[in-house]
Amino acid sequence: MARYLLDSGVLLGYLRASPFAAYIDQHFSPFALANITAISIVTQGELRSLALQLHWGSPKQQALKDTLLKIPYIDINHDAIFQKYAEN
Amino acid sequence: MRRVMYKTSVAKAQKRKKNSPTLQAVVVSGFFAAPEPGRKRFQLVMKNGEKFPGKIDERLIDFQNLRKLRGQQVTIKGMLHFQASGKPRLLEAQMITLWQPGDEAFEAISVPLPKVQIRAQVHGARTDRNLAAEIWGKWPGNESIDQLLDMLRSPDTTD
Repeated sequence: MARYLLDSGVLLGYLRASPFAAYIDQHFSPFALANITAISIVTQGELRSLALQLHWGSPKQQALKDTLLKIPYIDINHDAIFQKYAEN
Repeated sequence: MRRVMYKTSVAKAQKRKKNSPTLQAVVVSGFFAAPEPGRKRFQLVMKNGEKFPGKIDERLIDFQNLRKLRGQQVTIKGMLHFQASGKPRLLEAQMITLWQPGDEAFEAISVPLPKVQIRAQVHGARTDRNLAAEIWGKWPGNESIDQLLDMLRSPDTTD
């Protein structure tokens, strides 16, 4: 059982079905039921910012928002997160 | 007594419903309370005293095994259901585990505010067993992963 906080690059890898995300999924299974995986609210913002920078219309922006709702997100302004970040 | 609902009220309610999520994946930590023995319901008491009613996803969790968690601090992975007003209504647990150091980050529920206009369109039961498949390749655009990573590294350099 493990806890994972996926960064924006890794999440993009999943969303874009990239080989590095396939490697991560195969070796770490972050979305397996026994594991707890979340993204940060910053990642939510970064991905939605990409949608704006790409001048997407509402349907595509909504599709991205709907996908992001499936993944728990947390506020990273927390000592426990800073500590883990420092340790790694 | 006759109740009259004005057009503006209806429009306001519809707008609020449209802009509110109905379902959001969450991870949340708190104290596990099962006040109604025999019923497959529980309460999660947050650090700030706020209480969330919850139920378990019986396909994934055996309620009998949860008795030992009563009164313990736990971390729950699941889906949060909302009222039309945007307030959390029910926490559906898919996995419950004892709290461990580092889980302080889950002691507050991050929920989208109605004004950000997020609306869930998640239908049917979903478990994390297929979450990877649900998001795999679901980027709505045609941009390559390299292009997207470049944009992440150096924002505002599009076009």
